[in-house]
Amino acid sequence: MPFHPFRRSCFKLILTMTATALLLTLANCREKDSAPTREPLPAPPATAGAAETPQVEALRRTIAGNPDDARAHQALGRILSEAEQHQEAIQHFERAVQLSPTTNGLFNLAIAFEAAMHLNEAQATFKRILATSPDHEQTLRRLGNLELEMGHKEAAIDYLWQAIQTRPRNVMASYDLAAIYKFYGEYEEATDLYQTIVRIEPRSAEEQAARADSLYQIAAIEVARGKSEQAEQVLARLLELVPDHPKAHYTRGQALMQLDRTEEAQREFERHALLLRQRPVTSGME
Amino acid sequence: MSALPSRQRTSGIHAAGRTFAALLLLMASPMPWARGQDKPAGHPKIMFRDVLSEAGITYHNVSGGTGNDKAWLTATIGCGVAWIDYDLDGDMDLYLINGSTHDRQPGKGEPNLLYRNDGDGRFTDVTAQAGVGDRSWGFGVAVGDVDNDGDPDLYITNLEANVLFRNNGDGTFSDITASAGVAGTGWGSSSAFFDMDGDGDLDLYVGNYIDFSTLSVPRKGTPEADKPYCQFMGIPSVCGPRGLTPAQDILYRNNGDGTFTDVTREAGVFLEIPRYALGVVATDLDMDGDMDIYVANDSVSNSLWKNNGDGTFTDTGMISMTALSADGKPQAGMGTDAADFDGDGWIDLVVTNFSHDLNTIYKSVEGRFFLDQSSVIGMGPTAMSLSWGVSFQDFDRDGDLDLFIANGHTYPWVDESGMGTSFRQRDHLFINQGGRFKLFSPPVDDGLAQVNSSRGAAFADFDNDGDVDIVVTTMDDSAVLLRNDSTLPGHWLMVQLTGTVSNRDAVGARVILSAGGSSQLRERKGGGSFVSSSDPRLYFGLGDAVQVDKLEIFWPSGQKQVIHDVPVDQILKVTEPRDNPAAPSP
Repeated sequence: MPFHPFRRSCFKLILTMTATALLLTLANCREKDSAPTREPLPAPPATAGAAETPQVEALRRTIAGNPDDARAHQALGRILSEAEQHQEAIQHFERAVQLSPTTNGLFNLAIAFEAAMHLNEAQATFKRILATSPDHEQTLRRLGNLELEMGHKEAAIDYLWQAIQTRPRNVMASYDLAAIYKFYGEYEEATDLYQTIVRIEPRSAEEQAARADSLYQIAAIEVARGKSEQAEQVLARLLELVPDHPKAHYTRGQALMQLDRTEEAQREFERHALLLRQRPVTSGME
Repeated sequence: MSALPSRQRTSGIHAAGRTFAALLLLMASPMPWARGQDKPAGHPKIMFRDVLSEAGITYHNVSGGTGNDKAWLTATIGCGVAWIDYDLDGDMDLYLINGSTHDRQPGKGEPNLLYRNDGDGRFTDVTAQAGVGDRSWGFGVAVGDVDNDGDPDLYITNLEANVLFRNNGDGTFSDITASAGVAGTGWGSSSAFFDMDGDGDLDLYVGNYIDFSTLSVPRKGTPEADKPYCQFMGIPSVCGPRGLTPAQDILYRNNGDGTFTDVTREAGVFLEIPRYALGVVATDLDMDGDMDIYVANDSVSNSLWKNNGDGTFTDTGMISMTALSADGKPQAGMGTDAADFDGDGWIDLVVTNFSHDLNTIYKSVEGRFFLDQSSVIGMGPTAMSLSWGVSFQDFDRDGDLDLFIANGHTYPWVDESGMGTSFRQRDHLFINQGGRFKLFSPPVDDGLAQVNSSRGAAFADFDNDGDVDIVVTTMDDSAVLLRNDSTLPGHWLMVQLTGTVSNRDAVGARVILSAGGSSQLRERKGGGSFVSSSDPRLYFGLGDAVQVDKLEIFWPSGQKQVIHDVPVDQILKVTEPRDNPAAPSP
């Protein structure tokens, strides 16, 4: 397949990127797999214990004194959410929204529904926000990812595109959208987005991690397409800077196999296996 | 600073992608009309009808209770099914495995059932007279002529001891498990007969899942189950498999005298840390003339046991890149199958996986290694399904291999989760379009439109009408017998092989069919799908070819046999010549 001119030039850019530039890109990606992910089977941790801190007790007293204090309900809901006491958090967020149906209040409620795996309720709440604030970028992104989790690919893509259109420099929505395209084998679209992310100067740790992972994803797509030589060089460079990136080790191994460099590939697979063995069990089904 | 790409611009790239896909279609299809010639006059109209009731099959599955009564993983895996011509009357009979519940004594579960195909669309329950109503908590079944006496025997994997029934040739079977020495240990899942050492008899690979006891594994919903491995996406679930002790797979060598020897250690397939095996297929992936074993493992890396040709095996899963997904992740392997779906002459692999993940298609690169091509080949649209039984078959008779996948979630409680998946799901038929799979969308009255929690799946032309039918087991319910009632303009050929020097079942034989300027490869593999066993006859769809120009048969013994000018639309029986000097396989 002929290389798309844009991709060819961008790939060349990556290959010629100085070590310093790559290092900057990867600065916040030193821990294994620290990039934000759209991996299948996310497994939220088990419910944590009670969070009866003095702050919580004070908020409970406030609410007991004034059950219609929307701000207190919101504040308590947020603390309980952070403590992963989602059911009670939902009750307080719902009450807060009844009292004062603000966008932020609804957004907190939707996030709490999502965390409690009440996906239908989360979806409905996000849509309620969009009914009054159709350009609410964070809602569009969260709803896009939620739709994907619920198996609604087209809706997911639609919401993420809307998120990008509300703010053209929307790295994270682009990153999520690229992951969907890659997952479904739409490599042209995925590569296009990943390459654009690479060219945007990151403004947060999350964006930096997304940029670094986009480099990996571009190389992984090239490996899947059988274009291993360039991909191998990018991955080798990435691994110099992030030695414990398990996926990069595995994908470089695949590239090396395609290049008939079997012994080097074997070493990459062994390194990858070693890194995988260090993972804790987080779910019965993985 | 670059602006992010607009949707309109990407739409343009969509068009480029379509062009590329069209090019792929032209390059990869083995049939002549895909290379620019005209398609056959008629187009296939796919239709499957569930004929279970009219066939007289009353099997009802029991798998550890229903709904929230499912307290352990044992209640979520389900049962297999086998097509077996036990009475040698030329049509495929049906053997259905059944389970039990934990409040019953071992050996007091629901009996497995054998249904004789009466040849008129109906089946008769002959379990009692055949003596094959094993009442263990059954999971899997393999069919093979272990004593080379010309009739097929049955091997059943159980939660308790496994069972080997020898076919007596008079409509009855004898339990020879003890004398044969194949009771096994651990919770048996899929198994496969194959000739590991080329000595002309069938050896046996038994996949084992978990070293399971209700005394040691927490029951769902109890305080003891407050562990990470008893959760699924934050929801309390049955515990495992991760966190539980995996059971060791077993390799038995057939001694040729009615007994088997456990050669797991000496053959090199013993694992210090076993791997929760669920799917097994025996196939010659590197085409070096001996059969390798591919094992789909749940939640850990898959295994590819390369046959070294000296009675030993080496796990080449990692170096062959068939152990993990493209991103180097272990997946939850359930079923597996092996076939040359893209017509390049090399055997590819498919592995079915858990929901929120892709079923994996590993495309062979000349047998040296494999590339995970799942996304680009078309597995994405079914990522929310949880998949089990699987097979590459030419359902539409057009000369390339399509793909059937049986689906159903492990947990009934996902129905309340809003996770975008459900306990009962549609099974999926993918139509091969030039090496890519397109999901078939069945009309509402099609048998494929129903939703069940499917598990085992086996494939056969049970009515001998020249197309591939399907039987599927479902959790806590009746089975589904999908008769292929498609309108298919293409021709077909079925090849029934009988070994003489090779093992009688000819497991390991390869057949290359040439017709209309193109060729197709089929292999008489061992095992495949999930805990199930399919028609041993090799099925070829021929499209509009009206004659088979050449049939090349590569027998496991090394002999090559060539048959020219074979008429189509028939079941061709081929016996391995005894007096033909051995010719090396290519």
